[in-house]
Amino acid sequence: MLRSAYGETIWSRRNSLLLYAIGLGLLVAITIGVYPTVRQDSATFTQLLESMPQGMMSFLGSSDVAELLSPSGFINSRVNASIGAVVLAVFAISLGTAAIAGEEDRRTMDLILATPTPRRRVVVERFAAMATLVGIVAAVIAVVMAVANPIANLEISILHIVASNFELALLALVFGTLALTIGALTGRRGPTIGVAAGLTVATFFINGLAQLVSWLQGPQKLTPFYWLQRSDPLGNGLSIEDTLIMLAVIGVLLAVAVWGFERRDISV
Amino acid sequence: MPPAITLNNLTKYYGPTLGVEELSLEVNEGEIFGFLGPNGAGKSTTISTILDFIRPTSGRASVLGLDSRRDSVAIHRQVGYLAGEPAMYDRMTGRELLGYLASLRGIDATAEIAALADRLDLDLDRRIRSYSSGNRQKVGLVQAFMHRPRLLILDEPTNGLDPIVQHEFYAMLEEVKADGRTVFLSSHILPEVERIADRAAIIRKGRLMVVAEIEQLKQRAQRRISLTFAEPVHPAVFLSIESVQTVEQVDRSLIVTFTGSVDPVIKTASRHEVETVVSHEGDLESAFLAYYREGGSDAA
Repeated sequence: MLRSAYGETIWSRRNSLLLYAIGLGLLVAITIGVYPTVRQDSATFTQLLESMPQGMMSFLGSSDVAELLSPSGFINSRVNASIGAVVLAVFAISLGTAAIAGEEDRRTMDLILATPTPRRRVVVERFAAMATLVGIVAAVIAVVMAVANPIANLEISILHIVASNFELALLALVFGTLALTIGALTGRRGPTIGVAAGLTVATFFINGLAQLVSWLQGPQKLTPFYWLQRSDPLGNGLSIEDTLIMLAVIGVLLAVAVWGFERRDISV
Repeated sequence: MPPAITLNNLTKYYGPTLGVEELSLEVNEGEIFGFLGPNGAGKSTTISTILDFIRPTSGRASVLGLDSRRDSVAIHRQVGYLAGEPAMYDRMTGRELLGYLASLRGIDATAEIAALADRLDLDLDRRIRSYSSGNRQKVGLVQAFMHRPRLLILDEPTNGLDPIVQHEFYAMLEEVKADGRTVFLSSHILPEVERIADRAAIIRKGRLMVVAEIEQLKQRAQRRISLTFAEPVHPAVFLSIESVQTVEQVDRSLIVTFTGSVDPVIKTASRHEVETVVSHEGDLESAFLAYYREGGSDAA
């Protein structure tokens, strides 16, 4: 593993990879595990949901009760458009922060840069490692869904499961790449984690609260959570448009990261 | 053959704070060059600029004929670098870290790493977290030497090394020199540089004070020695020696400052019954006080 900055990153993150994979895998398994009960007793749950304030429901990924109680809607409300997305984004942010800012914070960046490794390569390999690790966790979620799908009679298409978790990984990578980029521009861990985590929480709430607060409906369209919720890839399959938007955002952030990291002084 | 290192009016400000200013010097290939200065003088700033970790405010640096900014990757291929207080990945073992760094250089240095670790008496299979500062320093030395670089840039390399390992390290430097390779060694310890370097530069508060042969520096450096005698000895006995500058008396002790060789002072002292001798070497700030003053008046 210890043959490149890419391999070293995955090697050093193997423990947290395991924890996030188990945690999110369990979240999915439990969510799907309780779904048959919800379906059986859908009248009670409909009542319960209808008595909830609108805004709270929108935090569950939809404001439509029937949709929330559908298999894909229910999973979205717990995982792909909700807590699961936030947790995976947190994992990505921790990786994105460690990529540049964390390395400089530990004063180890000069170890790598004293070897014939161009700065841009450090950025790109660290990004690739982050994408791999986030991708592995998203794949674990998809596998758990695919296995539980027939057991719980969800009848969700395998393609939709793949599409949804692919978009989930992209969503997390938007925030992870944001952290990597802030780190590449500043080299400082505190501001990096603060801004990236702050923006994740803020966009999550803007998206949720936009149901209640009309002036947030403009900003809502800029939040990645909205993109994923609007198109519901678990119910409808891959949204080409949202996928391209997220890929473009990631691409632009990565280019800014390379540009910024190549031109500034490194803390050593 | 281009010089190993050329600095051309190198200037670095961190915002309004001075790092180094108008530094110009040449290090020849094949020599051991000492870069002397007290802590905070700008030694590490200079090295970071040479290695392109930070960028000069103005002026430029070139290494082995290559531009420090444009050709930094090609430079790093031919340079071995030891940081002042090397930070490392705590969760790796020494062997893992060194193997990783060799991979980043695209080389297999397994044999060289084993040989160097053996010489420095370093156990490679323990985690870096559990290493003493001396062992970390050894790991730092191994990674700097393992690819047999044309130029070694070492920032305070003997920090934390015990005397036996220091001795081995000096022998390694001699071998590098015998190979025709170059060493740029930063230090705040005067006797260390006197012992191993061919030439040295002295830097203070970001400005270059002097570049000279070690022999010349030795001649001019101010040194201090405390002598305690069985019976009080009159200071005039030592003041009559040409190289002695001041003599201070405290009870039965004399504190003698002088330049050049210690020999005439010792020979004079031996005419009386000497109880203790303490040499105050290595204090760069006081050792080069004379130099700084002269440097100041030269400039004026």
